[in-house]
Amino acid sequence: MSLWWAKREQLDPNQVKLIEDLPLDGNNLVVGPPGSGKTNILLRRAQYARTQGRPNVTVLTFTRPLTEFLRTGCFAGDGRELFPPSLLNTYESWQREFHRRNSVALPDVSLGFEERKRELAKSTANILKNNPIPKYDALFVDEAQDLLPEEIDLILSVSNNVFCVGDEHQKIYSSTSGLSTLRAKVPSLSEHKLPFHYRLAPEICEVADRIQISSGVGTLSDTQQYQGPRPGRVDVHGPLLRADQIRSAVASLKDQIRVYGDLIRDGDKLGVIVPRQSDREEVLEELEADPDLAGLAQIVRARGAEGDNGFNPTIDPAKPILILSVKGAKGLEFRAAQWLYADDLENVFTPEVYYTVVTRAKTSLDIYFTSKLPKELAKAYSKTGTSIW
Amino acid sequence: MQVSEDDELNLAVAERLCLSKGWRLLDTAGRGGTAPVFTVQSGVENFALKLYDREFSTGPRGDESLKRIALQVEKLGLHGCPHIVRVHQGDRFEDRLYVLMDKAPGSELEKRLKEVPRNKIRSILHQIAAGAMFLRELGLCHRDIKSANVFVTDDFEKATLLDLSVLRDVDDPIGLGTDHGNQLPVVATSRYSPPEYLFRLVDAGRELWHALDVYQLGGILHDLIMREPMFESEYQINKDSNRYRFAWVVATQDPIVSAHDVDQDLVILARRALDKDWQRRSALRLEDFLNDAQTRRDRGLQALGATVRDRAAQVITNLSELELEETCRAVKESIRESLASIGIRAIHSMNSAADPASRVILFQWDSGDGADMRDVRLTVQIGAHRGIDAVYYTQRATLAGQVEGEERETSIDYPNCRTDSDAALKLSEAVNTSLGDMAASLLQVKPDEV
Repeated sequence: MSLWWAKREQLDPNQVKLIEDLPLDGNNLVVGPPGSGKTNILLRRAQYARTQGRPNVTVLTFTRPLTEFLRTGCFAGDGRELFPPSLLNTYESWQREFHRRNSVALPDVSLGFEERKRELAKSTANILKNNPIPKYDALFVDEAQDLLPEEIDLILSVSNNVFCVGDEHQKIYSSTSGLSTLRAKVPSLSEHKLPFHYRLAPEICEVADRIQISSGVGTLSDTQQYQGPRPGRVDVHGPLLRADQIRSAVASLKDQIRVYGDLIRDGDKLGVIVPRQSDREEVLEELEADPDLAGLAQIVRARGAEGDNGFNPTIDPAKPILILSVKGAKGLEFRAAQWLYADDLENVFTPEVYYTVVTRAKTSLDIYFTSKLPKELAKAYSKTGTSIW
Repeated sequence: MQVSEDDELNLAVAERLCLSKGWRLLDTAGRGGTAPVFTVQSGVENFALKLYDREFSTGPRGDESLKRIALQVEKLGLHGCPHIVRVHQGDRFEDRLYVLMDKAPGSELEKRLKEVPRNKIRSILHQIAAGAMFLRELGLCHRDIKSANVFVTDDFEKATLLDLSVLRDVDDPIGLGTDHGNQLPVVATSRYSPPEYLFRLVDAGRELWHALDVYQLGGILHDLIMREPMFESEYQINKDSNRYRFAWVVATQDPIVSAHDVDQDLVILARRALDKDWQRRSALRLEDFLNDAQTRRDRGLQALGATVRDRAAQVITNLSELELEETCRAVKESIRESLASIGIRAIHSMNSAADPASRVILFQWDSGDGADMRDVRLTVQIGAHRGIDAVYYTQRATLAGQVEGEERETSIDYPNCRTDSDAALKLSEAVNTSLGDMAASLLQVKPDEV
């Protein structure tokens, strides 16, 4: 079973319409809150296009881990191929391929993340101008809110149709506004809103709703159609020393491995989210030192946001605990999430970042802080029923 | 069994009666509150012969009984309703009154309650409700529907309503006098009597009789679900000693109706039917007890766009506004899940409507292109209310929508609900199970023929 390749009967009529009923030609943008099925629709629509005589498609996602997960779902239980895994790529690896094929050097890795993305897109556009390729029947674009104008130009130049999904409120790179650029550059863009979402427990929705407004037709709380285990929960722990935060997270993870065992066997993951990439090794060490958790955790690295050295994109399905940076968690979902050192890097994180991290947790979220709870989280959560005296 | 002088005397009268009529006396079948019942044979068929005791056969009481017997024979006669016993004849013989009836197959439901399979509850209830509807059509009210007056066959397939001895014409304002003059009625009857009937708080008339029918059908359902007669433990304590205390208990205590192995709509139906508030109770119709109630509910739900498959401050003493809000949030979530389970995805919200002691939960959805009802809104208002002894939740659900371009609305007021840990569950189940009924009523879906 795959979390990302939902079956028709698991989808609502709005979602099915976007997969099956839109004209084959045209540019579409689907917006909706976390868990509204955007990625599912993107994949199934790409698969649908291929069954309608439009084989030359590619699905572009933002992070390597997500692409890896999507690829694991490309085959049905009986071994039948739903969609060729080779047609699933990150923006980065898709463009690297053109550079490699034409022996062109990649842009300087010392550039800042955004600047490097921009240069890469320009370089790819240049390659394809001199070495034209057949136009894609359609490109299927995930997380369109984080696209730079140069990347949008590139996509539009190589494809007859684009099918984009995105959510302005899950924008994790501050200077971009992919959706408004897309609207400006594609006058024929037809936009669709997904009214309901299915992933987040009501308790998580209430916290996220206090951080920012959501895409769609109402608040996350008003439009949730949560189907998972109950009750959902959000808890904040602190101030705590870093070592105590990890100790407490380890205790929770041990419980969750057991409590959510069946769901984990079906593909659910537990997440440990940290602000800095350098925090991940420290967490992994502590988890490995615990006899109950040893061998169950792995670090997930998002290529693109970091260098290429020693990069291994494979995700081991036998290790359900994923340790990731805030940015690496983009697009993923966890049955339960532990967010450590949440007050670190407060100055650089926007409300969108807090919102995105909170909405990675489907049922249970534990937030830990070292000295003071960041404002965005303080205004979103309080313990109820405690004495004020 | 000890044979009393009265029994011997009764037997002698019965023998003389049979002799004069050419019947054959087979055995003594049992004894009701006012008369022994014998099995007699006439031709090849067996009948039940009810021979009234002398005190009910003579004097003013006798005259009253004779009028009732005449009502049974004349108005009801040899009717075609399979769920009610037929009365063949009734008259005076010597110093006694008698009635000759069909011998209903099986035995008394009250004695078989522990054995009734769960999957027969709907069908037994259906048959008794259909019987009550048949009487209603003729302008009659049974007034003594209870498990002891129902016979069920050994396979629990067929149920028959017996004992029409307190049958009454619903339009007759005087009627045939009160059953028991001006004193408290006998204990055996009072346990299935709602307070307004027990204490004569409402004038005789269609409204009273409807409320009584609903309560007594609720009583049957209670007994089937709980596998014992209503107020059984109180009855055992008080039957010989204190009929006033028993009447007080019956009039003020809500019988517990709860079971996990019975469809919850039946549990809610019983609770609503046993509501002490007679006006709220009267919102139920006799049709609501029929077996096809589910079918009508489904038809209503389809009209809503459902995919129907085969199968801090102290607002009120002791209840904080936070507690009320948490309960309502859980109710909202449960109703949302229930809607989702039948394919309805609704936008849902909750507000306080400027009253800190209540919350209004609103569900709105698009019923889809093919549905008969548009612009559907389900509103559930839950209030906290201080009663004499505790705080209760009050609950009202309203379903509104456009049917054929016309705005329609229907509401249900539910019985008060205790503010215990099960409150959210009870409140939401009540709405979940009555949504279909509300939808059917908005669409005016007619019941199948009884």
